Amino acid sequence: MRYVRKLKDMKKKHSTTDKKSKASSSSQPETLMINLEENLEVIKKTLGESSDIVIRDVLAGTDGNIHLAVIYTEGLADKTFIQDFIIKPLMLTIRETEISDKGSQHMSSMDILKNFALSNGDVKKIGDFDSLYLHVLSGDTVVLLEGYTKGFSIGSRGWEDRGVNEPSSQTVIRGPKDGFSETLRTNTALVRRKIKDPNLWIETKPIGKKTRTDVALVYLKGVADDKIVEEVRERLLRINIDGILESGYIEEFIQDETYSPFPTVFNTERPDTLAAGILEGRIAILVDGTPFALLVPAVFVQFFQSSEDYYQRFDVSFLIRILRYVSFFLALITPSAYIAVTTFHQEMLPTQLLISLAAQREGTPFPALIEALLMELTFEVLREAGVRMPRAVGSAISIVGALVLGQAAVEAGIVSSAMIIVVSLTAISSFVMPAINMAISVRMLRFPLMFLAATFGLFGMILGLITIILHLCSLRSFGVPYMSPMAPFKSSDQKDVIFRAPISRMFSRPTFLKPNDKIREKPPTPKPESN
Amino acid sequence: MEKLKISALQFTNIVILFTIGSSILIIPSGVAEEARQDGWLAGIVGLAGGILVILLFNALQKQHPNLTLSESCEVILGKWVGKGVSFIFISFFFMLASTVMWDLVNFLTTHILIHTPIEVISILFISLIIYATRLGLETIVRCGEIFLPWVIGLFLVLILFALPEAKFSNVLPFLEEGLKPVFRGAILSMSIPYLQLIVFLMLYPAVQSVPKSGKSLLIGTLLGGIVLISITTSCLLVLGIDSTIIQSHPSYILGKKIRLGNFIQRIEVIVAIIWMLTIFFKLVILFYSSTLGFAQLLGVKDYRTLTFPLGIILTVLSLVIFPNSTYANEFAGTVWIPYSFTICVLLPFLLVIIGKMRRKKADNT
Repeated sequence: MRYVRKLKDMKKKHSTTDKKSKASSSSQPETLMINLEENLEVIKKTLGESSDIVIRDVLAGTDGNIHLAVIYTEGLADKTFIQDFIIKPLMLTIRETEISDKGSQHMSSMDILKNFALSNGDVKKIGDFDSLYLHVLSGDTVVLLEGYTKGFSIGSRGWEDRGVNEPSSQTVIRGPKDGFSETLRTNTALVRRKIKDPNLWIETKPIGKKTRTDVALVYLKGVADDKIVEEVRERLLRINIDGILESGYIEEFIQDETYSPFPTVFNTERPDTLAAGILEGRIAILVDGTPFALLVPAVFVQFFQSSEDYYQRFDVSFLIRILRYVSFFLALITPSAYIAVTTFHQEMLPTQLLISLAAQREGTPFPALIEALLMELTFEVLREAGVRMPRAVGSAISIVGALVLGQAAVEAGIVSSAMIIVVSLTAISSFVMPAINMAISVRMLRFPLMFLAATFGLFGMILGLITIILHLCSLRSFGVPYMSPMAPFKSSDQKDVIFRAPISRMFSRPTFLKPNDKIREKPPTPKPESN
Repeated sequence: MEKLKISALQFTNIVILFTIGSSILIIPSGVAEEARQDGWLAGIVGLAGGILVILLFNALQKQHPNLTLSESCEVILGKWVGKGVSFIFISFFFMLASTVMWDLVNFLTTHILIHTPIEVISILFISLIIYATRLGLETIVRCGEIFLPWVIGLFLVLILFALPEAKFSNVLPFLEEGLKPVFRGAILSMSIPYLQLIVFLMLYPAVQSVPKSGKSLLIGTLLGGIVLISITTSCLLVLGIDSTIIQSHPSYILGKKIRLGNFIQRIEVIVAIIWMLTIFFKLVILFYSSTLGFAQLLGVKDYRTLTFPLGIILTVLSLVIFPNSTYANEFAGTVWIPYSFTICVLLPFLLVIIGKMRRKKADNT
């Protein structure tokens, strides 16, 4: 068997090398050539004379003896910038400059251009077509010279941007209102504005063979665990796909467990949440083209924390956090508990309540499970419709929803009004979660629990819950157990789980993230006794 | 053997859950039957006896701190005799698992799911056990950490709500028939949870700091024992002797008695939840240890391969082990005590002695 496999491997290798050699022989030369015309020919051929690529010939120099070409992509590059600071100096300034200094006469025209004409900050030398295309298609301007195998790439990116707006998915009452936008540079700037530390390192790498999307790894050197940083870097390097269109792609590639209803990567639109995570020793991944940044390693309790928790007084946020955990459980088990109690354990209910429930259920034709499924399904459809429909018809949905869910279903005797209460409670509870992806997993897990409750009552529910907790305990996110710091229990990390300690008492970073630098703030030194 | 490590705190947690296990269902009526109104005293004496037994286990463990029970058997007694003895231990764990499973199913079909077929409940529960075992010890103990606060919290709710119904005349007169029935009750309560803790000798090597593990076992047993004693006492105080003895699951009936205001009443299903959780952990630990033991016995590299076959055997065994609850009671009263004392006291004692003698011999030569 092994021999056969080896043979296959060899065959594979052969075929790939064949392809490579074929590709290189048929395609254009890799490095720039001396002749400018030839270079431009190659570029035009490769880019297929796309209408948004602008190639401008310029004759520069005192006698117009330097033949050069300016190449940029219209729409991605800042047109006025190019006219004022690239083409104009090349055509005019160079002519006016007296290059009388003896040393400068020995300079090549390339250096003269760089030193006397191009007054831009971001100028790079490039030597091969690959980087030329990458720069041009990213919005930079490339200048090529006759007689040189090198060219300049000048940073001139400037395209229509949505700007920094209020985040739409994670709103707060108190706290900064800026959110990430689609441009990577804006986003990194937003993070830098929060953390002005030289140890904030931003590593950028294009991922995706066709899209060449810039993906930035942001972390605090000396705080984040080096092993985890290395692990994230490796997982990013392993990605081999044609395109990255959103950070969700990256999330699916780097997460630990693919087949799990629970998210093991945290995402946020808010720079303050991201900065807080980085300060705790987490690692952020920013992706160009999306306002959603990723934060790893993620633990279960993180999805119950909102950045607002830290801006309000600690007792308020403690209560609100309890509310979130309670509503998590409500969203998960309310329908199944209702089914289990009404079908199997009627004795649990106080007599009065039981009588009123029985009276309501008398007219309804379906068993509790079908009733619950019907209403839950209706609600899910309404919610999905609410997200997708055009704004203009929004009110129609809410009218239909209110009527169908509230009135007509009960009056027609299809469902009992108690079931309406249960479904609404579930629905409202699932909106309390600050992280949407956690709310979605609860939405999904509700249904198997309902089936278990309908067949085995509370016994089935408990089985289901144990299974869920077992699964949660088996998860890991970049080596960190998902349920930490609850399991494995760390008493020093309990300051920010259910109870949020006053910020002046949070001396240390969470230890489950294994930060290199554990101390956040110095514990106050005892005041010297006053006489 | 897994290289995963669990902390001493996690170990204590899981010991508490195991000790409460199924005993919380069976112990009150069994002890009350023997010791009558002095059942609470029998519980305390039983716990004291249990602590002694645990000291014995720790002594056995100290000889080979990094080996599981079945591995140290082979080291102490030689390969083939050791394998035989460790088979006896492992089959004890497996038998115990099937009786615990039977207890659970019996409880569920008498009180909660009266019309559901026994087989379905068994298969469902054992699939969960297999799933948990396959996820590994680390996941199991973490899950224990999540559930322990719930178990303790719900237990406190049960005890606190039951207290208003307590009548202290129920436990009087004190020592009516002397100490003899108290000791009989103590021996029963020793044999039901405390002797079974021998199963943790299979898990000791997984604990991070081996010297601390003996202490965590003691602490866990003590805390679990306190829970058991308090449930026995509150059953006696609230239900009275006769109804504690007659009921096969008096602690469940305790939940029925609770009535607070006109709203909190009949919370026995909530009570059943606690037991489902603790029994789940007891079963998982037993099943994990027996699969691990069988794997070491047969030289299987990964114990996970054995989970399905052993799970199927466990399902069938738990269905046929007792024909009815009368038989089960009879078995627990007559066969179980000598059986478990032989395996959990006599055998470890012999192992300790032989181990010491061998060491001395090795030192002399």
